[in-house]
Amino acid sequence: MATEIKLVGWAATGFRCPDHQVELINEQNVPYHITLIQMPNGTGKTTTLELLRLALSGGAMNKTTQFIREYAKEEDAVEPGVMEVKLLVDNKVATFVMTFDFTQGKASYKTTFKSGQSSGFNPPQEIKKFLNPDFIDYFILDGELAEKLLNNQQAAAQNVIDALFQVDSLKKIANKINEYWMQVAGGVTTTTNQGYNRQKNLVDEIKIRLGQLERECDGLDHRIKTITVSLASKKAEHQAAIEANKAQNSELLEAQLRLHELEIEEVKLTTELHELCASPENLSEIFASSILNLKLGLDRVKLPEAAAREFFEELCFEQECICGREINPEIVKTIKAKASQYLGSDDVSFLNALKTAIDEAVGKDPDIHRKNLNKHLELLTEKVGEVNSARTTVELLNSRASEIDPRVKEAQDEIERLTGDLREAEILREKYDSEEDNGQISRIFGLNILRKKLKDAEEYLAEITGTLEVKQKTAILKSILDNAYNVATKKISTELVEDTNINLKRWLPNNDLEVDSIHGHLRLRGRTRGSAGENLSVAYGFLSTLFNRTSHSLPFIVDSPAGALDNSVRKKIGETIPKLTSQFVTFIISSERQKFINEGIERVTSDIQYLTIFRKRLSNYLILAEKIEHTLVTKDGVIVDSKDFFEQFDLDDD
Amino acid sequence: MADFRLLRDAKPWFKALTTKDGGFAIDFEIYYFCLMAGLASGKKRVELSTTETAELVQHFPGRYKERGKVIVGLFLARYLSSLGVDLKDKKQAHHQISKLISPTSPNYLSDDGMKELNKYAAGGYDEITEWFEDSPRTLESFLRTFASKVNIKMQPIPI
Repeated sequence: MATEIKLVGWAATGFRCPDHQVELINEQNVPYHITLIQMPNGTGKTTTLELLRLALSGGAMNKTTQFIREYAKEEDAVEPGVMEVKLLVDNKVATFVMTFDFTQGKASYKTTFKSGQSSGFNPPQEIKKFLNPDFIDYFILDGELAEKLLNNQQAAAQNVIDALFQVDSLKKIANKINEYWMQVAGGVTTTTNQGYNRQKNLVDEIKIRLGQLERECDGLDHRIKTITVSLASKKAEHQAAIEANKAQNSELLEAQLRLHELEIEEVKLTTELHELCASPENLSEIFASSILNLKLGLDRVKLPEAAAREFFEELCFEQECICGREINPEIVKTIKAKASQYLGSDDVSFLNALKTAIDEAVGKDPDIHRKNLNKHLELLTEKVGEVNSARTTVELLNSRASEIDPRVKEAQDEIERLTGDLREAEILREKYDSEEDNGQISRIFGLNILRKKLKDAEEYLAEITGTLEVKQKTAILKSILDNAYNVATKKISTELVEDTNINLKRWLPNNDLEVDSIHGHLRLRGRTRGSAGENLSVAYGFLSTLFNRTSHSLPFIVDSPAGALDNSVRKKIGETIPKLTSQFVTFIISSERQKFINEGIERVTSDIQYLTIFRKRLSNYLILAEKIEHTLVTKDGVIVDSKDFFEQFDLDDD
Repeated sequence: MADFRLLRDAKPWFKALTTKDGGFAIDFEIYYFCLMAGLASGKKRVELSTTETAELVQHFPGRYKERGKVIVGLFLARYLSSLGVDLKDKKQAHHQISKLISPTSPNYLSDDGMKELNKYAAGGYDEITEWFEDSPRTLESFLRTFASKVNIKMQPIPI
């Protein structure tokens, strides 16, 4: 069922950020679509965000004493730190109070929802999957998330898809099923513990190795794909540089054309030769003669005979032979014995079909076929010579063009480098296809070998524990679930990639930036990384697509949304953000406002709240703030809810 | 019903030809060329374990579908000859052919027949790796060398 979560506000006291309280709701008690919270550097922006994450995930429970104490306003603080966060969960208020006891170095929680208050972090069931340490970073995000989403050592992108679309339930069920079998198998073997443990360890060892090698192989596949794309693009560049100077490179262009034509002819002749080689009679006169002689030999001894074994077997059931003689038991015995010397009707039909096939393939002259193949072989050999010669000419003229035009040289050098890289990556990739099996799991690299070994080892484990039937059933169930997971994630990923790329094309039309696929992380097309701004754009593009597609509605709480972006991109992302989610709360510094707000967000929506939070010691701003209605001044902080003040406030550094 | 089984070592050796543009659209192409080398040279592996080989298919696939009977014919001719079976001896020929064929099988061979065929294909792979200094990089170079070598290395066994 779809769930809507809105952030209503929070109050923080006793922490190292200034004490503050914010309410993100308008006069009708409805949360603003956009809340901009301006906090100059040094005000505790990062601390506030981290407190929000901890308060809404229960993540502080397992933190160390030192971690807790680092959040105190001052050393030896006695007063506890209290963070109270209010949410609307499907229009019902849920309150989470997180208290840091700095003297004890411990955190505790209280939750209030519907029926009353309870001790501990107890989010309502329907939002548990969002309010936990694994998921919280995806809707309260900072610059590091972009890095995480693009990091090939992490599976952040897949994790968020799994959690948001709940496809991970399929994996969880599959794991549970496997655990169940392991439990059954483990239970049975209490009397043969040693054998069981040994086999179980083997299964685990293979699983770990297979997982590691699959990741490595996946990385290499991506590298090969990336280099291949770059190589194609560099070759196009190289060609464009040559064609840009047609007059000077006319000889080269002609030679290239000639080479291309010859290569096409070579492929045609190769295909023809392949076709001829695929018929045995063409490979050798001796093959053709052997086949023909088999047919002639069979003809000579009248094989197959006109009558099949079944004819005689049926005759045994008759009273009389076709010649009219009586068939007595003695004759039946003789007929049955002799019948075995005859071929069955199927064999007869086959031999007849075989002879027809030989006739059609070989004909009467067995020597003609190889002679025909020889002609093709000669033609191809001649063509290969022509191609090689044409290639040498092109290479020579290429070198000449490189000497004249540095762009050609540059592209050519790059092509050589990429070709070398590609070869290197392909060589590294080869071992994962190896069929070599030297027994030791740690020395096997072939993925198929390991997969087979895992299957065998699991089956044997099931066998020695007498749980083969359970194993087979769980294997079927697991394969259905795995298949469902793969199909679902593939479909979701493909659609997400397409929509993310539409966003990226709109924001960065000239950057040639596209997501290629999702393999745990977000893979970029044709490159491994982008600039900081590009990575951030990719993360926004992906998350916005994701948040848009899910039936759940979550707030999007972002630190420094435009910091790493160029002005032109800021504007476009600013225009898009209000469309991403029904509530967008962002922490911003004054230098980020430019373009992002006035030419971006404000163009799309007017439902915006402008908050400024700063330390009380900024006396100039304090005087201005105190003149504004509803300004809240705490022990060490000032909170101003005013658009004018927000726009006048101009302080990047403290 | 027995399968065509390909030596595990063979696929990586032919890798360049089995990629998307390599020229071998199906793995059976590898099997076929190995088999032809085995039948030409008369070389076959004496023993062939299932761990050394991988299942391929049960039927003649692709372009080999219509050539299956001729391939079986060649196998019968070469194998019977290697056993010293004289085709003029009807009883002996009948006995041996009955053992090797199974018309209801999608590959026309009995389990015994297929075992022998797989041994020739495995021996043929050993033979091919002797014909080539390195594994082939292009279809064109492979076919040219193969077509020449298969003729040179052909053992003329009279039948």
